[in-house]
Amino acid sequence: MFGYMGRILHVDLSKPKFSVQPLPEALCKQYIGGVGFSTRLLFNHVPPQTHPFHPDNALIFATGPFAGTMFPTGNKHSVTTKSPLTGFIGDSLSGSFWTHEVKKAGYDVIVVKGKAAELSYLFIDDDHVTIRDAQFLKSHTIPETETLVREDLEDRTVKVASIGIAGEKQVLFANIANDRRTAGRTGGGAVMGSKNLKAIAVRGTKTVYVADIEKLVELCLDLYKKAQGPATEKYRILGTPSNVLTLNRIACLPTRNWQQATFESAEKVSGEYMLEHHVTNIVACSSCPIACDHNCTVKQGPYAGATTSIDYESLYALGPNCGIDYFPAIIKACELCDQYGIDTISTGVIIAWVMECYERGLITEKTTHGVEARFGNHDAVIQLIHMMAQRRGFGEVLGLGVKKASEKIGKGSEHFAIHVKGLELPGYDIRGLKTAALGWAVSARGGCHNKSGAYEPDISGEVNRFQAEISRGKIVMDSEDFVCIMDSLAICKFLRRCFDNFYTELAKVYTIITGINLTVNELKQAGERISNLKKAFNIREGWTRQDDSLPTRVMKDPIPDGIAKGSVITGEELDMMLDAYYKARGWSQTGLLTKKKMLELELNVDHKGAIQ
Amino acid sequence: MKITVELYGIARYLTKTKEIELSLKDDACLYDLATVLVKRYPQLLGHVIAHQTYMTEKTFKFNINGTHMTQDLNLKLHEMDHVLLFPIDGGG
Ligand code: SF4
Repeated sequence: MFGYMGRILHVDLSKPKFSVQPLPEALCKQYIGGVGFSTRLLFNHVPPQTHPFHPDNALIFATGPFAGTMFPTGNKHSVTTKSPLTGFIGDSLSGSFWTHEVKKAGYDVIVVKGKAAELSYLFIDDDHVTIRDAQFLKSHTIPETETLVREDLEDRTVKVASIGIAGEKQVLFANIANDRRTAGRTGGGAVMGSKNLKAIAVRGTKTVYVADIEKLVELCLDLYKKAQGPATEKYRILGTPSNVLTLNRIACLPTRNWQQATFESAEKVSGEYMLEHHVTNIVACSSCPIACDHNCTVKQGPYAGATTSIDYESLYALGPNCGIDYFPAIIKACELCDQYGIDTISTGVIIAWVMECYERGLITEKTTHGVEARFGNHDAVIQLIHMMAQRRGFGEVLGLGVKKASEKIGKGSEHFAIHVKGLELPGYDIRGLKTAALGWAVSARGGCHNKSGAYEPDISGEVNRFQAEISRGKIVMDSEDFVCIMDSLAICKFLRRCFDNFYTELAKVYTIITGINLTVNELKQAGERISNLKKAFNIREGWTRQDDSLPTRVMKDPIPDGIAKGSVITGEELDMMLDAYYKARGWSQTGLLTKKKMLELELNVDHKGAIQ
Repeated sequence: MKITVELYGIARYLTKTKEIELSLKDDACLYDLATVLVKRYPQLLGHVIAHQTYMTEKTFKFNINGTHMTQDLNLKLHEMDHVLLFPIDGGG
């Protein structure tokens, strides 16, 4: 095959047993790769109602057809599982050298099931797959684990994806990291921990072949040039933290657990401030001409020596959302999250919720085990990160995520627990971004900015962001399908503005690389198919319309400040937009898939999600 | 009339300027403002404001007073307006 390696590796950690299945060509055209592949395989390989930590849950790593070629940003992979945080599909994207190595080892997808008897790591050495003892890796951070695995294998070039202590402790928002990139958000690291799998090391020596290399070179040279132009300048120079000042200006920067939408100290936590005071170097994932990864270091003060890369979402969550305006503390907090392997957005949102509980007197220092959890207290942020990542003391309950933690603490704290389907929200105050609000509500993996770019029509002024309208249903649908295509081709979203005609150009590249003819309509339909299959998985696991909701604060407490003052999403507005979205999707009014839609998309499932 | 221009993202980075006040003729429109701006900050051309047309590049828009995004260069400005050079890409 071209583009693809044509093989799926199945690993059963319980037996242990390994097998290789040929990649069916029909799967390629219908599900493309990455998230498309892993959604289909999750559906097929995980029995309905499986507990996320049961050995029968699958952890699926899937590369895209462009990985291992010269296509810019093509070295990405998805990590998909039944999420322990939401109980629904959990899919994330990571990438870089590990992805490329998986392809070189001869696989498109790795499906991991079962549970190892002891802490172990998997070593994929081309066709030779082994499970090795990992007791020596126990309680090590992610960077330490990568180094120790390479030492154990006596090969500094081996690529490693691993979990930190949080994954071992099954913190429900634990990540899996490789090459400083992270598959975050929905707790894939906790599932990996539940399988006693500390790391997956890969070494590959094979070659990815391309159907028409000359055409690909020509096309990629043009794309590389565009990727160095104005379309990506923001990411290359300032990085995503430049969002801080823009979102603050339009009153969309969630502050102090979404009690405000502007932060009085925004300048002190801005991308501009970061660039001037903390950025030491800017690096790229493998095969990426953009390079958005701004590595920051603290040079002096109590957090001197802390170093990590900072993006907007981490900055929002652990900065303004916790009332923190001391940049070195944000760098330290992000560094700890990366070492422990926990999601920075979830971490910041949970800590902000703790701070509001504390300030309202719903919890005391007795509850927090001595932590004075006030907004702006960066020492408290650091202490709480240690506690939740280790599931120590009060951290035991915080490691369950904000939804479950607020249900345990009660006393009305659910009102300001900022999540959708249990997934903590990213940094856009959706009370003043009504298309985004719908996008967050319906997202299959929970409240998320990465599974639809539904904030873009709001922020760019294509629509009136303060107004809820029926037309938003179709906008969100199209945006979700677009993202499904990007996540299945497994390319970086920051490349999106480099295309003049996204679908035409990518359908062409797909054919050039794989040799499989793919029309624009087939590509678009693949996006729709993948979105629908994610939904079918959720329905099978118990989804109802009530799950497509928004945090109570977003629907009850109007924005109190800035130019969005007074904005809120009412129940009627959400209902109207949900109806419009389900209708655009061709679903029933209760949001269930129809037989017609399932047949049209050849989903091969029945209305309860059983495979047919 | 007096118009305040706020610069964000790359616009601020390239000009090293957060905000400037411009004096424009009384019936000025956005095109007039763009003309004055690129004269003062030619480094914006090709990055934030397009050569020749003076429209914004596709990653930017003009925002009037924080509420209204536009690319309509004929839009009439009013005394004390704040015009933001505003990046429209989200993502983080
Ligand atoms: S733009 Fe950033 S995240 Fe995307 S591939 Fe490049 S370095 Fe990685």
